[in-house]
Amino acid sequence: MMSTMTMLRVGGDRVTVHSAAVPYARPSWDDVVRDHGARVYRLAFRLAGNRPDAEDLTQETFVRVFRSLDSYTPGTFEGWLHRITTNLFLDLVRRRARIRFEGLPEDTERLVGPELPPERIIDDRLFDGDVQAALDALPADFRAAVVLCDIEGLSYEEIAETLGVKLGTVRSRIHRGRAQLRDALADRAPVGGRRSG
Amino acid sequence: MTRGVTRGHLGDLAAALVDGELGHDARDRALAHLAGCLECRAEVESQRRLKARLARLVDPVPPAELAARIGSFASCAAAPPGRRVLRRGSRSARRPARVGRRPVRQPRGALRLTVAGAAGGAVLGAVGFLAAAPTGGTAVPARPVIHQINEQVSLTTNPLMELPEPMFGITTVSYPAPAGPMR
Repeated sequence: MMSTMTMLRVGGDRVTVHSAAVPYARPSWDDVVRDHGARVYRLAFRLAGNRPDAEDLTQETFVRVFRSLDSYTPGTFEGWLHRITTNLFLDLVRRRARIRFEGLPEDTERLVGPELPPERIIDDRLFDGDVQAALDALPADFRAAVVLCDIEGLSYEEIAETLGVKLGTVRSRIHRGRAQLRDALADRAPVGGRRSG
Repeated sequence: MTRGVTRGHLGDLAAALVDGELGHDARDRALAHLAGCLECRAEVESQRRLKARLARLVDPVPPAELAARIGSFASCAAAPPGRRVLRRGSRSARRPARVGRRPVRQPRGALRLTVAGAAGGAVLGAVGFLAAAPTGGTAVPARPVIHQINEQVSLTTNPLMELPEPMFGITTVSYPAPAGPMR
């Protein structure tokens, strides 16, 4: 299907060149965004736990998709999106952990937290706030497994593929993640009411 | 690798049972165990409740401006994806880049595209969610087709919208599509 593609090497980088003819019906970008945008955002939101990071993750996911759309093959799109979104999230978590350890880089504006008007922050908090807060408290690997399973509805096999781990690891992370979630929610339960900002 | 009921309790098989991930025999054994084990029954029941609670979460709605921004990639790119080389990211995208050595940042949301090979090619698509933007058939310009976008992106905050800069400085990992020759 990519028969018209040619590879060149320029200064060690591989460059892909296409002829004018497009050999298969690529979905339009509008279709891709419309069909998958809300789902990618949902996953990003549940993983990241806040709107600014969810927006960044979503946008970055689509940047990657846009760059590689040529090699899209039907039937694998959802899995591909899950993998990109989840791995970008895990990269983000690792990177922030490293930054905390090594000191601040130049782009510190990403670390100062959400720049949202207060009413939007409150919206976010009230929005299934307890569950999201409990998710946020999970280690990122556990959170990814639980979210992919219970919110995205992936099978263990699909999660294993998404995260690049074994089935037994998936099962263990989900089991332990749920146990921690339950504890976190139990801790919150007696408090009730809304918290201020 | 599967710790069975033989150890006394289900352990993480409880999760697999809740998720319907046990094979036929393992499921039978687990259910038989549940019949006589209050503790595991409570565990399974509580995981079921939690799973149901997560499933009931209301989906967050992506902000309209985000959809518009993403939808406008096609108009900004001015060339099919395979042609484009990210000026800042193309090399580092395949090589681990250290956090502290990044070049001076451009303004956020302003990643520029360098069109590799200026030969003809259609402008890809139209502005996503915004309007029925005209699909250009013009020669590829060296820069995004700003004037064309301007008419369509009135809803967005930045009319000079271009493909966004990679977030978080994540330029170290590339995510290949599931199949095909591109990495």
